[in-house]
Amino acid sequence: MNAPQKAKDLAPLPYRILDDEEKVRKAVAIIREKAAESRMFKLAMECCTKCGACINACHSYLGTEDPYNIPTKRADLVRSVYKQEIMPLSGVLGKVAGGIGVSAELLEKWFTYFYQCNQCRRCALVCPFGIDTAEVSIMVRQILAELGMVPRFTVGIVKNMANTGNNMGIAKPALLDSCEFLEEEMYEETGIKIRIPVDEEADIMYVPSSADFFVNTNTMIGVAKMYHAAGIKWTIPSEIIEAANFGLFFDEKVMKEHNRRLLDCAKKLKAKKIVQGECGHGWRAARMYTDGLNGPVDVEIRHIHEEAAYFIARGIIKVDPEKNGDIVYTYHDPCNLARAGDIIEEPRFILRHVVKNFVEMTPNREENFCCGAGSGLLMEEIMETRMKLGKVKAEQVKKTGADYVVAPCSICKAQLPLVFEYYNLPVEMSGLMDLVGKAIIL
Amino acid sequence: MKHFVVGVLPYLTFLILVFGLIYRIRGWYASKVKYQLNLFPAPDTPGGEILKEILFFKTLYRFERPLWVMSYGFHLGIFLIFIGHIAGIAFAGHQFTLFGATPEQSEKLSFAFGMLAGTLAFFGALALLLRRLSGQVKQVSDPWDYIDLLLILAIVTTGNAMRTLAPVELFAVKKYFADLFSLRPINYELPTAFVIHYFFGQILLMYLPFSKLLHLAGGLINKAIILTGDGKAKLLKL
Repeated sequence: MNAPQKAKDLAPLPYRILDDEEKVRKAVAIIREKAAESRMFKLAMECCTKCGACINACHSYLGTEDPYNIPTKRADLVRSVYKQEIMPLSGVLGKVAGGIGVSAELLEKWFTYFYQCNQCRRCALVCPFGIDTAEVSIMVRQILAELGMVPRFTVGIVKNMANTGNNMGIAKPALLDSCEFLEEEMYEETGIKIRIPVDEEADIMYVPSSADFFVNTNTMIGVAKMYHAAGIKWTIPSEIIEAANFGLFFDEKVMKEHNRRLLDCAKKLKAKKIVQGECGHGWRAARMYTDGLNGPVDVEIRHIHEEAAYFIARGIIKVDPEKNGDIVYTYHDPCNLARAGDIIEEPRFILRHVVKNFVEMTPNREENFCCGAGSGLLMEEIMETRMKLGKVKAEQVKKTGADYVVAPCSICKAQLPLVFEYYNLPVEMSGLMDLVGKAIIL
Repeated sequence: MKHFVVGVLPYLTFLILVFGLIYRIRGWYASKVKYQLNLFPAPDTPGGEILKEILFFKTLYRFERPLWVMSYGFHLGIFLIFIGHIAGIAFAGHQFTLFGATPEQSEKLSFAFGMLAGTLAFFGALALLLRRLSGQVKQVSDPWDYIDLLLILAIVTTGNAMRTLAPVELFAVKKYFADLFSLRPINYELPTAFVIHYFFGQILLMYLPFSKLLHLAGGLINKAIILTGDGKAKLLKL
């Protein structure tokens, strides 16, 4: 089983690389501190009865068939230490209870397996006690970060974010160029001057995914067309053209800083509403964590699908499903959008208006399986694992017989085409706003 | 030894149980819930949802039906045993006279409910143990899981034996608890079957606050985090 490459230089993260002895020495104290900080984590450590309900609920286990990817067994990698060192009866029952001490090898195992968890929270849904192993995964990655163990890829993202305000490292001149390019493209297509306003004062501050400027440009075009058709003034903040907040996956400080930047920009641009683009975990971070991180805030936080559904329902924009053809579409619920973010019915409402043939995959909505790259597992070096993590998704899509998968999340958009190619599925895929853009009547 | 189990240990058990529960549950509440961690779709009435969880094990029913059958039977048995012990001992088997039964009828009903509860708990625990010993669930089990089940099986088996093979006079048990609660000395003999059953029972109660057997409380606290905590109105009701 391959693990991501570790970063050799952690800047700008406030941690440093430690030698093995130091890591082992510090680990228990950090676990104890995290248990005191998070009730969910503490309860996950203390209350799992090993009933096994999570075993076949986890796509990571189903895809890799590695028992350490069973949610409760993965959590056991840290739970065994917790039992030995922290549980009240540990001195007496530690070994009997399956307790073990920390070792450098164990920490490596944590690094491998907690970076094979997509933090999709499907286990939390099926657990009779609501134990959220994604929360365990977040906490353990945090512990690993404080022990100096972070994937090189993730540090790269954090560095780009600190320098430019987005994950891809796009500087403002490049952003303005690509906006201009997209505006020209829309003009050629429609003959109408549709703008993508940057850093203008507006009620609505739209936060796209930075990938929408280079890879998923049709998502950006869809949003621009929609606001143009609705006749609403909106803007993009050049300082944070990134809905994704990688801090959620592994580090609270990074998450808090990103969130603060988001709120600062909204204030600067006098926005009343922050609208998050097609990014799963970024939506969860903004919608569910803002209050806890930097709240309370007086700015409204919405998702672009809530906006689009509202515009369609009220007749503010008109759409023609004919424009998206006769092919069969299916919808992939990004985990953080659906289970963790309450955007479940809106995308379906939109889809039913912008396409003619829409079929559900099974299971769907809050029971849907992850694409296999959730929680930022986009590293090239773990491609083999990523394809295994995507196996259940591929089977799900195959069963629908659909020609086209709609997946409104940048991580899903990066992962799924590779999965479909690997499993020989001749399907196309894109975001949802892409289809709104195509169906809209201007 | 026998005297220690019936005369001294119960007071110790009581103290360990009460202070253990306070210690453990306070420890959980000392940890914070900083963020909104609920899952969607969010229920309109989280309280009602938690009640369904307690009464019917809703999540298990929805996602793991075979396990639900075993688990629900087992826990229902345990619950009936709990109620039965209080009522059966307090009224020495005559609890159903409150509902109009004759003393003889009440003793028969008490016996029947005891059989039902004891059978459910025994076969439930046995099924859970067999399930744990096979295939997938074996991979995630540790010694602690087996010890929990074996201890419960020992208690249920001795309890069933006292109803069938080595009957124990309920009036004697009632008198014993009356003496115990009024701190009067226990200077008489009690049946051996009772003492063994009672000993295992006390081990369980002392061990309960420090083990995962407290999943009853922990699970509910956790479920409350998953089910509540989001008050944002939808832009559009769909």
